[in-house]
Amino acid sequence: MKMGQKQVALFILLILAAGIGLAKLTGYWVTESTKQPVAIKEGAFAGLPNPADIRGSYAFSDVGKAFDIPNDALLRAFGLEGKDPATTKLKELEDLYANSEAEIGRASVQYFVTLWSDIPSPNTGVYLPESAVAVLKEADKLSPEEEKGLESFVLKISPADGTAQGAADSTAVAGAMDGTAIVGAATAATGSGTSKNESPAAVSGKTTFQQLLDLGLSRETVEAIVGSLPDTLGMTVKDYAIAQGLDFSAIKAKLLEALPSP
Amino acid sequence: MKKKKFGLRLWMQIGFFVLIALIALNHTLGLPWLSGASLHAICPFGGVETAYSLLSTGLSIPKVHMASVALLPIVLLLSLIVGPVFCAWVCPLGSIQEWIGRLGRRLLGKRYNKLLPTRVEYYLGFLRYAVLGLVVYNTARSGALLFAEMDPYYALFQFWTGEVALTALLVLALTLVASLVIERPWCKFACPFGALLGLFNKIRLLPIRRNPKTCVACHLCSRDCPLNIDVEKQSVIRDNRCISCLECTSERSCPKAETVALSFRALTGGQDK
Repeated sequence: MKMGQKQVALFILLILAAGIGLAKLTGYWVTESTKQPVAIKEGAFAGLPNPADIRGSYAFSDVGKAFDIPNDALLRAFGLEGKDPATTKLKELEDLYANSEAEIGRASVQYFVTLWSDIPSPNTGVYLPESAVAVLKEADKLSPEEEKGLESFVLKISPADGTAQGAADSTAVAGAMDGTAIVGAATAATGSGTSKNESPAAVSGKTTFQQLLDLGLSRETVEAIVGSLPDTLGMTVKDYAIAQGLDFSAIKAKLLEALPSP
Repeated sequence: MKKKKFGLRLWMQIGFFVLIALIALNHTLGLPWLSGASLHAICPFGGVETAYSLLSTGLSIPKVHMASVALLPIVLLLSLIVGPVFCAWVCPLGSIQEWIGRLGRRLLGKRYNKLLPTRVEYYLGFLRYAVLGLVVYNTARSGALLFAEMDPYYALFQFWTGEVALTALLVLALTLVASLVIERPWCKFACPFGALLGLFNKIRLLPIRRNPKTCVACHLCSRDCPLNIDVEKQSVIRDNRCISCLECTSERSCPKAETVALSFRALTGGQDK
């Protein structure tokens, strides 16, 4: 059997059409974000939307619709009063809070949603603006334990200047975003009352490698967590992680866990 | 030497290029009768990038949609049967490199695509596998679409939006400029998806075959191969660089009928075309 140009062209088009057709029939031909997070597959919360699947391309109204949270509450939580929830996307938060010492972005919205909805998702080491905590308290969505645990992760910040006036205690808890495990939100927020909660310093987007060493971490420990060290220790960990193609959130969580207690 | 005509493959390339360009533009135009698909969704390499995340967490990595996961087995099936035809017949990035290459051929004549020694080109081609490994590993590790930072395909169709990383724009610029002197430089030296599809050349059901009995050793097939594969020296092309463009089987590149062809079995016969 031989194939010339005509047969090859026809064959390509046929296979593509058949394959895409089959994908459409089976519901796999999704080319745009459906703005609906996938459902949690197992456990007590199976069937409910998974906050870990919230995408940066979602608008605030998409999050509100998926998790039954009033748009007004979402916008106030992130200092976006007056903005259109249908057109303001989560990925804009990173630009709005670009000068923040700690990241405020999609992960912060995911964390806010887990606290509002009581759907567990491991979300430690993520910061919220003070306005978000206020909204959660106002709506009576925080237990006393969650409220106490949140004290370490609050930034007095607004998108107007994008600068934080510092977390309440600048403490941090180890952990990283992980879409698979299910951890109780209360447990995550309280950090089990371990000494990690009393660590004196936070690792943020502006923390340099030299600052990590000054905080008591050894070069070997930092190198083991990050993978390598830059030539200049004055470089921020975040910039180095981005340059190396690494997940800064995960590295930050491990560094926080490794920080010695005072 | 016969002039390269407007063949069927070129029409296919133009068709897919225009389709993807329109889809990209539609993000700005907002035409209801045209797809608003994400560019990442219609690139099958997204399926490769998200495979680990999908298998381990059930979630695709951000920006990658299920359509690219659906496209991946379709393209792999094509590669298994007729080789990496996606590269030569569909991929718009490959197409634009070829079209710029036409200009390069006019400027450089016979020297076009022959500036690098064949051996050097051959070994540099293995860089693609390094890129593939690094992309897959780092994407799995970070759970993010890191390749977008250097993806010239995305840059090509989004350069006006301000959403493209500077590194991706630089890679695109370098690719397009290099296309003036080397045919398909991205495909040859850096494309991770091409690296993967190229492996299917080893097992494809319909390889390109050459009939040594009727071959007159005119060397045209080897000369015209865009990937500089020495077709004349082989009876079955299993080279991982082959993109199934079928240039070597064309009238232009082989004066003997049924001497070089895409065939399931060994060729017999062979007359003047």
